[in-house]
Amino acid sequence: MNVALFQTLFWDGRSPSLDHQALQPILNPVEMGMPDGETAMKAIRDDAEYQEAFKKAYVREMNYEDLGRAIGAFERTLVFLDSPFRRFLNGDSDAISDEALAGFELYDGKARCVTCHPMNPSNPLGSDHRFHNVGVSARHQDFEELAKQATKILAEDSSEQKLDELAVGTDLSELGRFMITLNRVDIGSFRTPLILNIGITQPYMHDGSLATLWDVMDHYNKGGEANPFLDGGIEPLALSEEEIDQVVAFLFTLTDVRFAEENQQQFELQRAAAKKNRPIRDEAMAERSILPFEQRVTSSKSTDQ
Amino acid sequence: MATHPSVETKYMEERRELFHGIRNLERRSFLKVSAAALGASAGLAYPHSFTPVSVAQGAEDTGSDQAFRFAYVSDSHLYEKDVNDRFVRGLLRAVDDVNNLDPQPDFVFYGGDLAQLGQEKELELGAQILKNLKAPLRIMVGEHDWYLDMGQKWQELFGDPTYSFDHKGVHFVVLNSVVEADFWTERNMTPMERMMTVAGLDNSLQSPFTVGQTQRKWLQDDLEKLSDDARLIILSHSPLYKLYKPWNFWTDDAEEVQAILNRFKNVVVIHGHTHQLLTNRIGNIHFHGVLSTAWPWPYAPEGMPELTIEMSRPDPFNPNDGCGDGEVHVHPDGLVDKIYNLWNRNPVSVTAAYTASGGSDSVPPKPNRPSY
Repeated sequence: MNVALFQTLFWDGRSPSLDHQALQPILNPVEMGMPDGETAMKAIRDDAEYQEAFKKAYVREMNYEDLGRAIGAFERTLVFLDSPFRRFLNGDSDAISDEALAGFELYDGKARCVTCHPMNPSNPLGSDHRFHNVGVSARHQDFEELAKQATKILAEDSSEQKLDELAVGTDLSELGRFMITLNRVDIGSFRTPLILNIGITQPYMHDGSLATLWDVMDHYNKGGEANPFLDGGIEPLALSEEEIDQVVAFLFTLTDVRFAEENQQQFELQRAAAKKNRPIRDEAMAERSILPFEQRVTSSKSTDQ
Repeated sequence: MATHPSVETKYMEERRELFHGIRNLERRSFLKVSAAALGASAGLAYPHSFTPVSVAQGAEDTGSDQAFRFAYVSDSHLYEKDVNDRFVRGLLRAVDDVNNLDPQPDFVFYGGDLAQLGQEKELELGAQILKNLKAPLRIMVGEHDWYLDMGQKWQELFGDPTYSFDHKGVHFVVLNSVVEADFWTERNMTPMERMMTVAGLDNSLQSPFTVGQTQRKWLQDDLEKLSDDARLIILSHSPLYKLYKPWNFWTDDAEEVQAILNRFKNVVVIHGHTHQLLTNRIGNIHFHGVLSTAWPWPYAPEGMPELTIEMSRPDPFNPNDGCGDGEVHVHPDGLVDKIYNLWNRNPVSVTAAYTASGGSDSVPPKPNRPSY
């Protein structure tokens, strides 16, 4: 949804356009596994309907590049911006609840969401199109070790296809933008996702590791997961339970009204799940009564953690 | 008396000029400006891409005229944890950066201002973190470390602030360049009032930094045995020249110190305090600033050395932007390549060829956004 408005594609931004992006999974061995574009074309070339449609669109024989263009053209039609919140901004003051409005104020203030998820009339997506390490993969990855491996592998082969394979099939994908730039500052950073329709695009984060928006709030509330490359803007937020509910209520007003029913369903499902279990929640960290660095500083083998 | 426009004033003036310019543009020049604006709005666009630097590893003998490298970390300004832990994380990150250099640097140089207000707990926390460095540490004092107890705690932890050592044929001198004349006794200041005064900018109360007569004499003696073509690197907290007095980007007896260094063929001075990319050359002396792990300073409104390629304004939404650590690659002739490892940008290398050529060769990439 709304991918037409992205400036780069894939979580690590390795693809510059939809037309280009569409061709990658077809050749990726763990996705569609076609050896090359020609083989992929063979699979559809005999289809009379395709032949006619391609002829009409591109006035030439079917080819692999046009396949990318066609998929890209389809993706560009999937624009879903008409949310209750947008209607609220356009003057319909009843479009969102008071709770959600309070959540918007937090989004814009104490919860710091707007830092990376700016939303305004000219950029309604809620993404700054940049790459940030918010600590998601730091929970289960040793960045330094991975970075060493990646640098070695990419020194031998840094082709587009190799990158795509590594980014989809291996742990190295957790290095995020680093795989593209090989710059240490990009270790573990991923493109800020758009925030529109967030209510119905679960599970969350680049690896789908969080089930509900309450978990997402818990993650940010505790200041992300400490790691050396953590984005500078990530801080413990000290949000109360009530405030977390308000932000989540606001996030559920960002779904296009065409998905209103699904959105409501998700809200209820996620709320029920969050009532049962909040695996990431850490109030001590959120309130700064424990600081993530303390354990490191006082233990003698800090750099090995 | 001349008054200097504040940074804000300077910025507003530049803005006014830009917008005035835009109104009077013809179409052709408009395209030029809008292309520049486009570059600016596309976020941090880098003039060249980063390739990992592979460092030639010299043999392990200790003879002279060898190339080698050391790392630097500086200006962490640690507070007690209930006040601020972001700066602590900054220092931890720098320690991680340095520990993950492969191969390891010969040593790590810490450029001063470990603490924010010279308090015991701040300095102890810093010492504790720096213990995690794998490579040996060489440390220097800054004014933020000193003026609460006049260096008592710092010296207890790290020893004498003025010393020299030799490494692979290079003579290193570490100075305490933040010696201030007594302005506090007459005003009856408490130690904390004195510390807060020194920690402040744009106040007329405090005295300018100096190396002072005692250390200048010591320096003269220390260098006496060296021949004029010796490889010599001076480490000081303040720049050993006069840049901008209201911020103490300044050493008041700089000329006297430079005179002592005058007879050498090449001298490199590496200094902390200014928290930014900063390059200067005065005759035979090549000056390099270092980055802070805590915050970047804006550039001084006047007095900027011509060789400095100013970095663009750091992103206010990213407190890491403009901060970092770095490396110094020492050449056989004693000049250095200075690597600024910026945490939110591509690394910048200010090479020996650049300072040696007076700025005509190997020019570091200019950022495509304005300075600040």
